[in-house]
Amino acid sequence: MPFKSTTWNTFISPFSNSFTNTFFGLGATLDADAAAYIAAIESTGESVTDTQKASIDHFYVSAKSDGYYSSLKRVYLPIWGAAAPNAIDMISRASGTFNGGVTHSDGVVQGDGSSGYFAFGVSPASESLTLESSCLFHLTYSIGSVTGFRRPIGCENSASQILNLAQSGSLQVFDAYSTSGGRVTASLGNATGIVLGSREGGSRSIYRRNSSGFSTLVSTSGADSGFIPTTIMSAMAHTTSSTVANYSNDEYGAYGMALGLDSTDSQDFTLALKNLWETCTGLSL
Amino acid sequence: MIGFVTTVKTAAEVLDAVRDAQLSRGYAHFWTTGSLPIHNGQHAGLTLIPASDEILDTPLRQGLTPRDFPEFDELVETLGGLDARVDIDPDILINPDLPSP
Repeated sequence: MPFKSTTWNTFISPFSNSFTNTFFGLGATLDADAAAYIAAIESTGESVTDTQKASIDHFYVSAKSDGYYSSLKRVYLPIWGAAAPNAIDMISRASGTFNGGVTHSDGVVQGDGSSGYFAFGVSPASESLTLESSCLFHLTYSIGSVTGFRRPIGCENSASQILNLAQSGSLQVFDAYSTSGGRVTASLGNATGIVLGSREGGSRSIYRRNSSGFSTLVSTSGADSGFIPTTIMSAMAHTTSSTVANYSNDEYGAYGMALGLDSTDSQDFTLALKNLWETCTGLSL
Repeated sequence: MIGFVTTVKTAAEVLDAVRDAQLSRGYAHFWTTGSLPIHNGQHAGLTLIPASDEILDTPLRQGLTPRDFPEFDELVETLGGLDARVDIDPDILINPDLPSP
């Protein structure tokens, strides 16, 4: 059986000691998808430390062993301080496109609230999300100056063909796939941490993970409603078939979309994403 | 908001050139200024290409910014030069058909 780095990750935490660096320096086998993502980042001229490599490897290995990896469609980790590496999807290694005013800092990206956003280049329909199974998420590090209604991630053809996570000073909103029959809301404004909206098992749920742990903000059973958008999914704003709107200038450390994740998978995934982001950046949620 | 006011056609040509500058080097199309339709005021019907100094100094890859690409000067010249940039009221960009919250 091949030597698996997860065995070592179990015993070596955090991954910043010299033994880990030596371990990777000796060319231990990385998960194939982890290796491909690291290679894609390095191909843009960015350096990936051994600590970051170990954390990235652990993310992939745990996602596969926990059984939700195949549900992940797009996962962006815009922590690298430049547009090219920040645009690379961890799952497909394809690039999306940054538009307009976006600041690329170490650990986060931040739109300017009026022109800056990130286009995935794919839609919920093209990624085979279904009315019964879909998920969006964002890791928000800090809240910007735009505190009114904004959509950290989303797209729509119409109000009955929409998928998005929105927030305001008083609400978290998840629309899957209609703003009427497919909307759930939670009374929590300007939330930092990882916010995840999932349509799975007949329910629409909004979960949150922050430094205090994991919580279910809302979970409501309901029939399918609306249609699957064919417009391009975006982060830091919301794309329609004709315009871009609801810009956000919060600071984001990750965002993406997936098939629906149940509560257990949502807990596992958000914990893995939190550990990945915190270990790679040295920041804390 | 600072940028170039231009026609829809010219904006499309500039954005195509920005995309081609990346693809021709074997890169993905990972960055663009984007463009925003102007809905109100004296420039209604035209397009704004956002081009603040912050945008033009965006770190792209390997320490390079848009200004470091050889195509940059040519594209800026197409738009009248950096001094042709204007600072407009963002309200003129508000789309009357915005999706409702």
